[in-house]
Amino acid sequence: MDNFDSHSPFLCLLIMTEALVPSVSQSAEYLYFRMTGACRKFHIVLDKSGHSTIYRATIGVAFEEGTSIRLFGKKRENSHGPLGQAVFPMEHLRHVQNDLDAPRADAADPLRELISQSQNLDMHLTGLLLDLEQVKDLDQFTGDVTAAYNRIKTTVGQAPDIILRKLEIGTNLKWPALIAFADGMVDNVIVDQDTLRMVELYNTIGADETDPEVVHDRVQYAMLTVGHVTTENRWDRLMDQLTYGSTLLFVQGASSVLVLDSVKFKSRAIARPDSEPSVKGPQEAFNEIMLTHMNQLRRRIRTARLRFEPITIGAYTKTTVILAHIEGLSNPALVTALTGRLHAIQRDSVVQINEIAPYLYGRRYTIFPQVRLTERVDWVARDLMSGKIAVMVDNDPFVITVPTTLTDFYQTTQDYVFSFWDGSLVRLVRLAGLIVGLFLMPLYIALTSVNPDLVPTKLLLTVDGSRQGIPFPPVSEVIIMWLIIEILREAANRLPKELAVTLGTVGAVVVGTAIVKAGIVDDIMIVTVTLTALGLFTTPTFEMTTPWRWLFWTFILGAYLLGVYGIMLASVLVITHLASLEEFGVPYLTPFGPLRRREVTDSWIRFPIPSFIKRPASLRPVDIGQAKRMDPSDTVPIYQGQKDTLE
Amino acid sequence: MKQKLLWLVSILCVITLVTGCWDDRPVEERGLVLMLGISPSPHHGVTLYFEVPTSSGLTSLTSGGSSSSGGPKFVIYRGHGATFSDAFTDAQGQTNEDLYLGQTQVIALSTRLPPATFAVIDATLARLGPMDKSADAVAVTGSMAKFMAFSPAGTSLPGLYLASLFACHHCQTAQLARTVWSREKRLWSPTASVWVPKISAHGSTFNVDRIVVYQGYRPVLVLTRRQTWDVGCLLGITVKAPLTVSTSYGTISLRAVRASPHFKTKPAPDGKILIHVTVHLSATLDSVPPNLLITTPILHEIEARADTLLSHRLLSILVTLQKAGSNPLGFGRRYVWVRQDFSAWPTLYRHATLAVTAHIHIHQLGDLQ
Repeated sequence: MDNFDSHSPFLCLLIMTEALVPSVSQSAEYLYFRMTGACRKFHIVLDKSGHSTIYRATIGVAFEEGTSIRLFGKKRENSHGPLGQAVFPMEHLRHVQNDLDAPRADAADPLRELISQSQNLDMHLTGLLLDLEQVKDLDQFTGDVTAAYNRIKTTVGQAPDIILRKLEIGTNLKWPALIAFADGMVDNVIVDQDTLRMVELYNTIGADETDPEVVHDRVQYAMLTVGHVTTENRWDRLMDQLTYGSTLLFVQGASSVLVLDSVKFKSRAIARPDSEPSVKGPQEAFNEIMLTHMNQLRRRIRTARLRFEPITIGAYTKTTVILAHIEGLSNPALVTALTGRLHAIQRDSVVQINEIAPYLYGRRYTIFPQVRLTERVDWVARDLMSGKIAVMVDNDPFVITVPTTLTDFYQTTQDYVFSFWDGSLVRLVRLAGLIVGLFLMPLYIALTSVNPDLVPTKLLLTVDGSRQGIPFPPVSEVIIMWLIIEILREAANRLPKELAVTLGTVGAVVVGTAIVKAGIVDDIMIVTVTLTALGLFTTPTFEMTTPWRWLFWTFILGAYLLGVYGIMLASVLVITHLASLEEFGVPYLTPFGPLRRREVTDSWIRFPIPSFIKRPASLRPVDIGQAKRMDPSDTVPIYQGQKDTLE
Repeated sequence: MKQKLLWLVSILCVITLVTGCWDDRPVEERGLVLMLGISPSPHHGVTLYFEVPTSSGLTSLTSGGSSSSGGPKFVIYRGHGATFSDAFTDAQGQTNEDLYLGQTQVIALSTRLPPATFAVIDATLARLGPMDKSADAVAVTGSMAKFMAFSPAGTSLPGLYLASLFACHHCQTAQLARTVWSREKRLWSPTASVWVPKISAHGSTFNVDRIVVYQGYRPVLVLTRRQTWDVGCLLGITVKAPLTVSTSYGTISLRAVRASPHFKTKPAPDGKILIHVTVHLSATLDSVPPNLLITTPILHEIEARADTLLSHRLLSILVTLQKAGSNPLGFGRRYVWVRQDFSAWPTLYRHATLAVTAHIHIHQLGDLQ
């Protein structure tokens, strides 16, 4: 590998041209450039009519930050001549295109593509060259609108949603300018009326103005009626702003670019939390817009101590991740630890929140979820107020709250909107559902196959009677029925709601009845499997159902091999594992392991809300008391705008 | 990682090592023995009878007992052999099901079993792993084959019928249920004797109102119905016992007599031991002569007459048991434990002085004024 240093990108084109010349193809096989880490490669295969020669070249452009250009390529020992002997590349390409167009137009598509790409490259390099001549820095806007146009057009501007428009500032002045924005991600009112209309029709600036900085300032402070305007001159940041929905206004000769906050996503309306329904209480879910997340939380927690700490993750996606917490309430060590873990994430992309969730906890291979995902705004607000920290990811309506314990997965908003009798009852029902769902089928296997002496005689005779003529042992019946349940469940998930009801009917009535009549499984097994499925369905959070669906088979295996003893053995293993889990210093089995009596009052049972006078000590909040009287002078008015939004 | 692997291997080893616990055999492949009959056979052998429900019997239970499908509801497998195991193997050879004793509800013991054979069988039963020790033990004085083949009217499985009968504490005159476990416990006691209810087929149903008392492994007495009731009072297991008292006002009958006995065993000055049994009873006035107005003095007179009557009857049965050498009430348990002289007890009991004091209290007058 030989390296070439040059101060002119034009040299790159010459080298590329060499690669297209037959005699040079032996001397330079691969030539490529690197531009700020992003390498572009072109595999050029020329199959000229009448010639069987195939030319290959891999070219690229690479500019490191700064002014110097670094070229490097591979050539052989018998390299041919000086690099500058080749003809101008575009001319050569045009010759090639003419040759191909005439005899064999049908075979020239790859070549046309090559030519198109090369033309873009030519335009791009021309723009770069102009910038380089101006400021000796390829990553900075030089003030040349044409160069900026070329640069955007040949990069991100190739996409149809990037709109570039040259304009003139002022009716008298007619100062060249360029506006760039991403169609569909901007507010058209801001672009059309607050920017274009104001800039083009502005007539109070004299025609004799020659200082571009003055023009730039007049545009920023006098012409534009956009609320949030900043300036920027680094190309990488400008490109990020452009693709994120900001409008860029380039003024000829100015040293910086005006960045107009015109972001307006096409967002989903705020909907009901379908995955966490509640009969009463708040019915608001997050959507995919981070700004909306923050607004929704601010509406609920009107304190200046509510902090949103942004972190950008994803080399390509540059996804915004927000760490929400309440300063002076949540544990600072927890915030620091979580921030450190988020900063340590190295990924190309983050498109959903679950991609960062495994980075937040240490035991990544445990089957139990370590963080709870929720789409309920009120639940996140409640968690924040209890001293937890919320992690929000742009473009995902679900929010993570940490630290999380096992009992957190069995609590819902509905537990708090009714009386504590109701809240405690439904939680105990969920616990009973979990126990039934986990142990009913294993017990059925253990008691009918391994330990029938433990069953009351009449019940055993009833079971025995129902099993007369069944060709499969109980464990096979369980496998058959569980497969049917899982298939029905997955099918119901994939179908529209209307069809899912039909599917449920088909599954429950047709399959259930038919399979008993066919003598494949006994009717008690139908009762057992139905209760098992219903028991596991009582788990209010979806992520907690998966571990139990897996561990269910551990209990089945234990029951099949060792009967009731096997079930107990499997239970001990699971409880041991649960007891070993701990994240951010909070044991997973809190408040039962270790026992924290005060927190038991809001676990599998719920005491009246006035009895919750302290926050969970397991979270180690800075401010543990939560029974404070509000300062009467600290009231917050209800704004008319809020009413409008709510309507 | 190495530790986790070691942990996993250890778990697998443990599971493999405890494979002796593997007893996975579906219930439909097991022949659930609901009643086990044990009787002697020639040449000091033993005959076992196994009552096993058939598919027809089982499905009739599943459908709520309303099934009218044909076929016998249970089948009796009979095995002969020199030992319990031989007989069991003989019976097992007659069926394709695994004869399972874990759900045995009733063990019927023939009173004709020689004590030596009974002792061997008892030791075998005590060592049978899956044997359900909560099964009820009953004594059969007649033919065991006929008893096992008998099916009372209105029921399909005799074993289940008897289990229900003994499980119901209010369904008998006295709670005569004796589990295998309690019987074994008494056999190993140096003072107490075994007693079990005697059961017989009577008409279209079972008759369970008498008990058989043992001396060791040898049955010594089959008590009459009244004697059984008296022993029931002494044992405190009566529920619906009646009592008829003759007074100067006529014949008075009491019902629902319940007893609460306690006794003392202490050395007497003559070198013997004195066993003093005190029984407190409660009863409901059942019937009185017409036109008799029950007043407190009359009630006290009735109670006094009943006390006298009961004291004599209870003393009489105690003397009978003493002469037979049987001690079903377990007298002297504390006496011998305190003195640690177990071997002298049979002689002491044979010459013991017995005394009974009965106190009855009529606490309900029924509908009488």
